[in-house]
Amino acid sequence: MKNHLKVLRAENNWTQAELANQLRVSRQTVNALETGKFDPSLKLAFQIARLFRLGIEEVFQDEKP
Amino acid sequence: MTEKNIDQTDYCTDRIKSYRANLFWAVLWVGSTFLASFGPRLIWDYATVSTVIAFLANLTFGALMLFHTIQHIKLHDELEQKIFYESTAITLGAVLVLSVSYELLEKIQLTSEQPEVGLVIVMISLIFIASQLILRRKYR
Repeated sequence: MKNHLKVLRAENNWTQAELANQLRVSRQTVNALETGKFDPSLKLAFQIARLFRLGIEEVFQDEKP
Repeated sequence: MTEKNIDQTDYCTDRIKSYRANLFWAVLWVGSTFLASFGPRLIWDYATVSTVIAFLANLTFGALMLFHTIQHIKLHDELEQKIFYESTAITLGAVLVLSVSYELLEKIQLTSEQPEVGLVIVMISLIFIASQLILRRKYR
């Protein structure tokens, strides 16, 4: 699954630690999400989308055609 | 202080409190294990009542340590929980295979020593720590 987390975070001038604090997760988790090493649960994905005031599909995309 | 910082403080405080509670019960359990192991011989000369109390205290502290460990894991975020569960699964599988082989060593007379449960506990700890380190590195 692809995501635009890194771009969205940069647009908001947040560090990984700041984003992690807002999501109540560790900085390592934010990094793993941004690098695509870890796919979030639906609950966390919705939480991320809500934080950026976007729809979930604007943040996350399925890689399969 | 912004709302974000308050959240951060709450999150960190919860986790630190949980770590401390976990450590407290772990120390208590280890202490009670020593007392139940050596107390009968060194302190109360195998008095049955004291031995039973020490044994029950050890079981109770063990149960409380487990309960607090579960609460502690619930405070982890989902990646940390995933790493914990994967390490536990790897440890369980590896220890099953290794302990069967270890027991077999004596049966097939490749060694004359009786299998020691202490060695299995050390094996569990080392495999769990190693798998945690490897998985944390994988998701870094």
